Amino acid sequence: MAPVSVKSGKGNGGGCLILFGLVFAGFGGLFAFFIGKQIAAEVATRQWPEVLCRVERCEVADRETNGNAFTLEVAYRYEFAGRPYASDRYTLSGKSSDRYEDLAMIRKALLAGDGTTCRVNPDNPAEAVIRPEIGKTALIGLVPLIFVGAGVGIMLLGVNILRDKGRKSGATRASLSGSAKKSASAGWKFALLFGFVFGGVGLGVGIPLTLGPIKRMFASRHWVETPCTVIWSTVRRHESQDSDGHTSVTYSVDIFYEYQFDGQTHRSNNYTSLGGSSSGRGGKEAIVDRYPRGAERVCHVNPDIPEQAVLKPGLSPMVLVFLIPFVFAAIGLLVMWGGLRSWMKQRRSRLPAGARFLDDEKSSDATGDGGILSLSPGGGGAVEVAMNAADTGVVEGGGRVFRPGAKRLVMAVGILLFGLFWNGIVSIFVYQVIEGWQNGHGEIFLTLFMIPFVLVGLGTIVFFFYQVLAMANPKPEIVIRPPVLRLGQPMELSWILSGSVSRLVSLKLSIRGIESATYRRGTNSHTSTRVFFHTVVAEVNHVYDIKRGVATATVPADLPPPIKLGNNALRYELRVEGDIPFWPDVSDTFELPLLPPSSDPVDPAT
Amino acid sequence: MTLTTEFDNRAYVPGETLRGRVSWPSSGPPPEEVEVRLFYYTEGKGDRDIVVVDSLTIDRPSAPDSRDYAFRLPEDGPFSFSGKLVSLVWAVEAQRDDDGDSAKIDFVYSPTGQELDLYAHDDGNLPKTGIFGG
Repeated sequence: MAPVSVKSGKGNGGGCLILFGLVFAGFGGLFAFFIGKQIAAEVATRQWPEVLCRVERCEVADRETNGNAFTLEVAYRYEFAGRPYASDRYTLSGKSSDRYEDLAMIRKALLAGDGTTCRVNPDNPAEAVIRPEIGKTALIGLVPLIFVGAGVGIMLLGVNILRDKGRKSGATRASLSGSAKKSASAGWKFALLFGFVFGGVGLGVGIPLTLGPIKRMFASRHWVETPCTVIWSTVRRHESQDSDGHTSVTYSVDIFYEYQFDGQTHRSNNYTSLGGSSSGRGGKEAIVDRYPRGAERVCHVNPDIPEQAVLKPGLSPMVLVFLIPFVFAAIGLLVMWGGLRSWMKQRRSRLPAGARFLDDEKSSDATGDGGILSLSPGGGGAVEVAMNAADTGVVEGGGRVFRPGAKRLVMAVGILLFGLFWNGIVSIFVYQVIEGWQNGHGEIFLTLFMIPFVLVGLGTIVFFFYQVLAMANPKPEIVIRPPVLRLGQPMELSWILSGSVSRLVSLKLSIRGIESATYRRGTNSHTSTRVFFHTVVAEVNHVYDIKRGVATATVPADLPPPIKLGNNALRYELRVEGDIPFWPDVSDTFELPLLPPSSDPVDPAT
Repeated sequence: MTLTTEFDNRAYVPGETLRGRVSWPSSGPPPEEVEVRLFYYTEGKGDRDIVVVDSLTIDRPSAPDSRDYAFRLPEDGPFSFSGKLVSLVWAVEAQRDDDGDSAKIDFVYSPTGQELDLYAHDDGNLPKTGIFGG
């Protein structure tokens, strides 16, 4: 059976989970209610009868005449029950956007062809709309429902925990091995639920938010360069308030320009393909200063859809911020994968190897007469675990061979990827901090807050280069005989180093036994390790002895074999350490798959 | 619920069979099921791990109020040991029904007949390691 981890300390998470789930579901429900009301109103418009309508006027009103957003102004006529009517509503709530292009595309669609259709309120025919927006609102309405579902799931988990606690306290003596069954069952379910919510929200937000804009950013590099005239150019200020009442201010570039394409006049306010706002006013003012009102500049126009244009084509650094939802998606998927693995392990390990239940046994030991019920053992934990340990060498030519393999490269690549990710995210905030100080609006708290993150980032860069240098180090090949390694049995270790061995001034081979214990405190997990056994196999300083040699070692028979469980482990490792002056040292470790002492005086392995 | 082993406070060595008796009161309603489990678990600084090695289930036991059981212990361990961070303990436990009363007996299982001491060869010069958080 797969090891099951159970917290040894006391804990009453049931009540907290119920409260947390209640709040989670409550907020989700509240948002769902308001969105539901909007959806209900829009559902009503979908039921209105559809009639032909003739659009007489459709303009995109710019900000100078209509406030802070572009607004679609439309006027159309229609007939209902034989009587003529007029309306100016595109949707129930009107249509406006910060992007001129979005409204220009709607205008183009409305004015194309001979007419369009609109929906008329049969109870009040003077009320009509051209488009209901139920599609988008319904999709948005799914998001709070996910939170409601997750909140209910968390509450049920809390109820389950409290119920189990009640049962355990009601029992005279709680079962230790019985708790293993219950913990195993609850753990993977929670992981799947949590991972699903996290991953779902991350993908649900990330994919529509980024895929379209990224595709367009690449395409804009090939758009047609076209002369344009700046109508206005300013830095827009956006204010938002968080739950603490703190107001945060961000800024965006707002340049509105006009151009001619294929004999038609078009307008746009896209600076790049990606919009958005960020803190730091100075950089945006510098951009706006390059596009004063009335200036003649060059914009890039999509030849297939001339309503689409940008001043600066290609990728925008803001795209990094838009990738944040994918981090949530990755976390969610990782948690789900962990939950699935746990579930599959349980399914595979439901019966220990070799176990037989009384029913299957069909033993001659009859029930009801007090006879012995015997079963063959399962277990075999130590043997199985040792052989499954990572990097335990390969058996070749009568010995077990250990080589570093691709470990050094994997380590370097791993550090590189982590460093790119870490420094990529940190650099966004560092840029904001530097820009703030340059513009005289430096934030001391943010600056101090970023220091440890910057130090970690610098550390990964240094560590990466250290690993790259270490990859050029000599590589050891260790052969241990006999190939089946047992506690209490002498082992012959022979080594050969390849590469520029002359750089080493000393070489040491040692065997260590290490115990490790992982424990959770809140949401963090900590692993403590401690060396319980250490023996030096060989320590040489002469270049000939460093390049190749032989030594013997024995791990005492009164030590336990290695074992790896969910939270606790014992392992034995062979360490090869070579000192190179003014250079990263040789440092390789290999796990030793030690078996228990042989009970057979003539061990077939030798 | 009462659980006993053939020998009290005795250590077991590889290849031996653990024998004993489980009994439940004859008064009151009989249990739906009685399960006897052979398992090992960890104690110490880390969160506990529990591995059930073997088990037997008696469904709807009726007239007898006790049963003898036997488990052959796995030859290759793991064995009982004691360290400064982790200790491994073997036990046999009997439980009635899924959430009912239970009884457990710890025992030592090792090739030396005694709990293995991880630090038996500590000469005071062991290298240091550390704590990793996550």
